[in-house]
Amino acid sequence: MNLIKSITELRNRRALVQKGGGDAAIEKQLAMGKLTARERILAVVDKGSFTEYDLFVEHQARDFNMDKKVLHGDGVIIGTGTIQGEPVCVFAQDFTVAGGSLGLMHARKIAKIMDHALKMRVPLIGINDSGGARIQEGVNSLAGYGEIFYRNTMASGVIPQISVILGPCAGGAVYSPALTDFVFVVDKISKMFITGPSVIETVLGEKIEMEELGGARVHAEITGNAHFFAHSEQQCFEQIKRLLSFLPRANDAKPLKTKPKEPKFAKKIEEIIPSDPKQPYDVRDIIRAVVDESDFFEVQELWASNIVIGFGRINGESVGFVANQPLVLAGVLDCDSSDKAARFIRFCDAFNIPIVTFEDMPGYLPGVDQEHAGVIRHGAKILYAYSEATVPKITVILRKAYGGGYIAMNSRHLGADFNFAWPSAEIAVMGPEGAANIIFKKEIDEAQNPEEMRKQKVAEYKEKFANPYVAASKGYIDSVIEPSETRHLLIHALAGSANKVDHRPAKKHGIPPF
Amino acid sequence: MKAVAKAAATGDLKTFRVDCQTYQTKLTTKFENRCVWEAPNWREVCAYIPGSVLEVFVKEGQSLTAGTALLRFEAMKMECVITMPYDGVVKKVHVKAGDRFPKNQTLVEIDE
Repeated sequence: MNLIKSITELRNRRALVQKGGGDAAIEKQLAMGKLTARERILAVVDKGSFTEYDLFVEHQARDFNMDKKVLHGDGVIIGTGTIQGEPVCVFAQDFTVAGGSLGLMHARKIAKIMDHALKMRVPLIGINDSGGARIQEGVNSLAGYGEIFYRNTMASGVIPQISVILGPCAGGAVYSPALTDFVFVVDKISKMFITGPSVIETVLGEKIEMEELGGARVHAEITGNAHFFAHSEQQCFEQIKRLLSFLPRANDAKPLKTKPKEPKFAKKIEEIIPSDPKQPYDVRDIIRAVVDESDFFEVQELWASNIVIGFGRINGESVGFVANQPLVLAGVLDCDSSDKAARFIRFCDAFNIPIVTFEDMPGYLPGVDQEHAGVIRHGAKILYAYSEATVPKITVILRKAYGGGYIAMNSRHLGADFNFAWPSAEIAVMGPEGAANIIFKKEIDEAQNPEEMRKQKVAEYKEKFANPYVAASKGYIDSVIEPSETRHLLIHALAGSANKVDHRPAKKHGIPPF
Repeated sequence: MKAVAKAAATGDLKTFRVDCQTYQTKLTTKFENRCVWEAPNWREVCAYIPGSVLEVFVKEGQSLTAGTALLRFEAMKMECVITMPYDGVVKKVHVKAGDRFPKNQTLVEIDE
């Protein structure tokens, strides 16, 4: 009898606290086109799998009349659940409770679930929707952020960390997502910035709308802070589930294998590349032609799209793809694309995901803006990432592999395990035009018809050097292959490297050109 | 090929030069919006940080030596002073007390 009474009381308490900021605040949240924190968690985890912790936690602030305020759950929901049957840890900030502002206990709850995720070696998903630091709690809220950042860093490379921005995420709060592996944004809902429009206007007199300053599209297209862009929260949750399907639960595991399936790509792979080397094509078609079910999950699709990165499966095994994209900026490497590829390579390496590289690139992007933006140190990141990676590394040279680009795109010299080249490959120190102009300068200058001579010399150089056979003759390329053999050889290479062991010298950590 | 045909049809393929070779390709908005580099004009004293002017110490036509204070301004809750970079004559003062200025705005022009 007594127990039943207690159970009823628990139920009543739960019902009250689970309402977060109450009906009016929930209505406001929904009116903004957003789901509530609880609805979000329930939408992302498997049905019936969510278990909440710290529901009854209360804030301990006493200043500024805070002692009279009740903030249910202190504005954040934490707990565990499963996605596709695999365990995950989740937290979601509740904007209906004091604007999701971060105080000491709020931060402690987040830190608790982070510690749990790290200890249990399962992925962490953080849903951000917060007005920022709770000013009334002063330095305590700063301490809270710091403790979260520290845990993000400790968990980095151990468990996959996913940040979902479903509301404002401003000031110091942005740095937790920035430290995590993948950031998801939703059009019109996500807002991320360090200083908001009002401060910018006061200090600089520059007028800018929140959406243009730090909206979803800005971070997906311009800053590169976001990895996945969705049009709705529901689409965003589907993307999260899809991403997790390619990842292991932690760095001590391998991604789960699925049943191998043949690609569904209709066209023949050798028909994708135009015969004129100056004409572009969509390199994602090459990826689709080799992955299971032609199912390619692209990461950072809208940013630095001159390089393509993403996940797919080959014979059921999860693989990370890096590919130059001739369709955009001719597929050059530049500051952003180097940055994008390097981080992705390091992610794959940390989580035991083999890397397949498709190469077709004319070199590094020339220009004062690139040089001054630090293309040297940014470009170095990709060299570092490939060299450092110990997962199986396979390269297929499709067409152009010129100069620094040839070295950078997982060449044999950086430790690649398998280097294949299509017969269309042009592996050379630079493009035929440039090379002929330098090597045959004297002949061209002294010729009766310099233009004619130049053309002749370019053709000569092309014939002799712009092919895969010079590199193959030195053993830099393992095999020149027919395009139609690509998938078969990738399967073969991956199967043959399942037990790869490759040690690096003992060190505290390397010093990549951040 | 489909993408090419589509891109060509919508006319967004551009000729793009890398080293000595040209390619047909799409450009990104970020690339198209990039700033074209201009050689700095050493006659102009520019703002290295956005801020607001507190006090201007000099007048046009004044002959000054290197190191003389030109103006005092506030930026990021700090007060700073900008000084003459070399000996010269103040040709034009572009700001007055109370003005807000963005980064890189010309504050003072100097004639040698």
